[in-house]
Amino acid sequence: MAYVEAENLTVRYPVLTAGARSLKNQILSRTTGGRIAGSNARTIEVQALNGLSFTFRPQDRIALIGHNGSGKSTLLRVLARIYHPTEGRLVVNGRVAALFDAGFGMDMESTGYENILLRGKYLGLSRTEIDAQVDEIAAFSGLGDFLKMPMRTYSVGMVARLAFAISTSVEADVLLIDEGLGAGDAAFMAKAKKRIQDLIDRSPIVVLASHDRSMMTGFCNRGLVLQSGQLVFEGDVAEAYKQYDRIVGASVG
Amino acid sequence: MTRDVFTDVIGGLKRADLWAFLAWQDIRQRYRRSSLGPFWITLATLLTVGGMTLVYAGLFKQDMKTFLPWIATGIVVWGLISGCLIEGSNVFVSASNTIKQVPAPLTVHVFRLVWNQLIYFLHNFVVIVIALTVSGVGISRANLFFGPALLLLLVNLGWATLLLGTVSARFRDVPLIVQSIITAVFLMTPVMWRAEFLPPGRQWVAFLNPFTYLLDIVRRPLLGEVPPMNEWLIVGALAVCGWGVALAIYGRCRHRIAFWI
Repeated sequence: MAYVEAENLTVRYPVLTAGARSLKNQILSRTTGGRIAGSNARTIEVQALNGLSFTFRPQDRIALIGHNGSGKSTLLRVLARIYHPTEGRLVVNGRVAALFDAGFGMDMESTGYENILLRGKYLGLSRTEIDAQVDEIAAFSGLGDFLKMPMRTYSVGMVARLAFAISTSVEADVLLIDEGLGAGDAAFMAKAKKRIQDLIDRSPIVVLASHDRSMMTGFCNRGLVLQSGQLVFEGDVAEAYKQYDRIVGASVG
Repeated sequence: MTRDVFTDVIGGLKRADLWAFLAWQDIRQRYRRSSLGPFWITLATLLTVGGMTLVYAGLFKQDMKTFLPWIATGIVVWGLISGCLIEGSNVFVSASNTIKQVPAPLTVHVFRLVWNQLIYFLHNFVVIVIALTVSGVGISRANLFFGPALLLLLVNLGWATLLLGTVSARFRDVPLIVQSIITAVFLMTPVMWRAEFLPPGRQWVAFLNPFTYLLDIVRRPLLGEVPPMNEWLIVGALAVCGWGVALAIYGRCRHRIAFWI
């Protein structure tokens, strides 16, 4: 059963300078008392998340709200087990699908059909699952015979449509979206809304980070407001946005 | 923590659908629209082996027909070893985009690389078959040992990739160091020469070199000889100790690798 629980979740990550990346420098600094390598060899630590505690249960559609650099992407990646907690506890039960970069994994020299398989594999779908959905993805993308041609012949919009069609076919218990859906032309976006709704409806837990406020308020029922790595508000999504506006308003003056 | 590391490795093995597919995809991407596809590698190896046999058989005053299988097996198996070590040290760094987007145990990339190199090896195996046929080396019972020997070699290359990949994620000059060392080790390993060619006082170069045994254990069954017990023990011990060290280091660092790359 899908379930996410975090207790005092903290993530600190090292940023290595060029000097710190060199094995030769590390050895030199040890044997020369730090004088030659100097401060170039030190690492900087960024506190990305600080003491977050929350619980997500099935039917939760969470909106992650925060300014740039507040820790939304880091939190999504920790939930996806791409990053790991430095302190605290995190439990994620269920199959996780991470939609972070709309076009990730597409190979421009391969055909549309081959990319459906390739991107599907990256998204964690099995061969049987992909084969079962190929026709549906093809039909939804509206690309017709173009799917048999290499993707380098596609326009940017066509690439975006196909990426979207594949992304929205995932099956997951915990769905994580970081601006990762992409877009197409106006006519496409109209049918896209329904497909996103279907995707969200069939995923027990959804965590969504986007700057598109109407999308967030439309699809989500709870909001988490992050500021500089800390959780400052958790509750109804409309209330969360009010809180966020207050924080942003305060800094803008 | 030890349990976590094993879960990571087993979890990586279980995602065979992903890493086997990606390994094939890497090859398909590289050789797309080329007439021979990956068999271009086979052609390159064929030319290398042919050229080397011509020269080194002359230099060592050996009969070309008997020397050909020695060179062919040496070059092809060394290609597998050096490919895994050189590309292995880049395994996490070059997959950094994938690691940051796709939730999967990091060991998936290790298995992907070894599988990828194995596919190249199998393409090059054609050269060994040609060399053995031309030289009249027949099939024998010893050939049965090739399978287990290859497996043992791959197990060793697995831990080497994991260890080098982890260290290279943190220290970016390691791949370059590895590349320099491999070039030197190639010359000091009996790939093109036989240990017997060395004067007795110099034979330690071959016998103290672990690569000699890794190479020999796979080469002998192909040439119709059963590898001696001491070779199995050495390569086996190398595998056990190697995995121990690799898992220890990987276990301590695995949570930070995604930040380092």
